[in-house]
Amino acid sequence: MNDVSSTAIEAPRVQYRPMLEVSCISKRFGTLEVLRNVSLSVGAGEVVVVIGPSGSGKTTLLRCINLLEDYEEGIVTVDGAPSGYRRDPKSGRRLRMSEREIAASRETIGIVFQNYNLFPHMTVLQNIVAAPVRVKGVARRTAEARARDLLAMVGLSDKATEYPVRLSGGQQQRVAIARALAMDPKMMLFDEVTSALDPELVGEVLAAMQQLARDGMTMIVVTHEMSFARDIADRIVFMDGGGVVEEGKPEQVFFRPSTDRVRLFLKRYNDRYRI
Amino acid sequence: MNTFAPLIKGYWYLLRGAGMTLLMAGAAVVPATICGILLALLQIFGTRALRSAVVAYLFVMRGIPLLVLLTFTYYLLPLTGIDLPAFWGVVMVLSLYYAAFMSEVFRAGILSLPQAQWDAARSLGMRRRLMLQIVIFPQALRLASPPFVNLCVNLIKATSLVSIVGLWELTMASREIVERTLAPFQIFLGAAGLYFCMCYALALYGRHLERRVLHGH
Repeated sequence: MNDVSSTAIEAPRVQYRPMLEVSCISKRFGTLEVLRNVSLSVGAGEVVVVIGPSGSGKTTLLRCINLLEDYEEGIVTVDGAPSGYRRDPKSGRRLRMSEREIAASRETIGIVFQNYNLFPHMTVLQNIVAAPVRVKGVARRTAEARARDLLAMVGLSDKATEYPVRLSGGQQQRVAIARALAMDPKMMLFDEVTSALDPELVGEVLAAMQQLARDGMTMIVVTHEMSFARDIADRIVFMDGGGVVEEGKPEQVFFRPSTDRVRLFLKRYNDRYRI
Repeated sequence: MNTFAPLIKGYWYLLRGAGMTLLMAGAAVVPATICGILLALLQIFGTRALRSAVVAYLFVMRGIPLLVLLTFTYYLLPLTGIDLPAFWGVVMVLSLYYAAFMSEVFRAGILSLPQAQWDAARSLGMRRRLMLQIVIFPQALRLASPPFVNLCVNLIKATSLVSIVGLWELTMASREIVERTLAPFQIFLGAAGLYFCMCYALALYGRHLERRVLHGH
C-alpha cells in the first residue's frame, strides 16, 4: 500500500516515451560548423529548454528538426517516425524523404518563430484555419470552432476578425501559438518567441506557454529568459559552439553547473540582468 | 474654331481608333500576364537548364526594340506557313514581348516577400503549390500591382508602333485623317489627348494601388 501511494507522488509521468529523437546531426554553412554531432532525446510531455550564447546553434537545431534547415548528417525521428531523412536498412545510407512525406511530418511539429510570421493578408481566424482546412482537410466549420477555442485559450477571443497589423507583438505571438496548435501537433518548438517583444508583453506569451506545458504538450523552448526557463523546464540543455555542453535538471544546471562554460555564461547573465 | 474643324469632323474616326488600341492592348495583356507569371515561376523554381533558358529569353526580348521585333515577325510569319490574321500576329508579338517585362515584375514581387513567410507556410505542412496559392501569390501580386499597371500603360503606348505593319488603330487612323485633311497638328493633338486620357486613367489607378500597398489594408 505504501509503495503505491509514494510512487504516485514521486513519478507523475508513468513512463518515459521518446517523442523526439535527434541522433548525431551535423550541419555546416560553408566551412562553419553550426551543429556538430548533436543528439537530443525528448520524452512525451517533457519540456526541454535550450539555452546558450548567440550563435551556439540553438535556433538552427530547432529549424533542423522540421527540416526548415537542411543538415548533412544524422537523423531525426518524431514519435518513432523519421522526419526528413531515413536510413536505408540495407546499405545504412541516409535517404531524403519525398517532399510529400516531409510536409506530412512537418504537420506533426508545431513551431513558433521569433518574429511571429503571421500571414499579413489574412485575418487572425483565417491565419489559424488555413492549414487545418487546406492541408489536413478539416471541415471549415470544425476548424473555425477549434480556432475560436484556441483563441480563447490564449486570451484573444475578441480578435478573430482583426488583421495581424492591428495587433501588438504579444498578441501576434499568441495568435502564432494558436495557429501552430490548430494542426494538433505532437510537439511544439519555440524559437526565442519573446525576443522581439516589449518587456511588458513578454508575460502574456510566457503564460500561454506555461498553460500549454501544464496541459502536457511536448515542448522544446529556445529562450534567453532564464527565470522562465527555470520555472517551465523539466530539463535544461546548454549549447555552445554547435554542440550540447551540459544538460540536466534546472536546479542542477542553474545552481550546480558541472562545466566552467555554463558557470561563465550564467555569471555573465546574472551580472547583466541584476537590477 | 475653323482651325479645329478637321479634328471635329474626324473625332468619331479617332475614337474608333482609340477603341482598337484598347482592344489590342487588352487582348495582349492577358496572355502577357499569364506568360509573365509562368516565366517568373520557372525562373524561381525551374531546373538550372530551364532557368538559363528563361534568362536567355528575357535578355533577347529586352535587347530588341519592339518595332524591329514587329517588323521581323511580320515578314517571318508567312515564311513559316503560319496563317495568322495580322491582328492576332501583332497581339502575339506584344504578348511575348511584354511577358518578359511582366515576369520581372512578378519575380520581384515574389522574391520581395520575406523568407519567414515561406518558413511559416512550410512549417504548417503546406506543399509548394498550396503555399504559392494561399500565402505567396496573394501578397506578391499586391506588391507587384503598381509596377504591373505601369507596364500596362507602357503597353497601350507601344500599340502605336503596330501601324508600321499596317494594322489600323489610333495612330494609323490619325495618319489617314492627316493625309486627307493636311492638318497634322490638330489631328495629332487629338490623338495625343486620347492616348493621354487612357494612360492617365490607368496611371491614377496605379497610384491608388501603390498607396494601398504602402499603407496595408
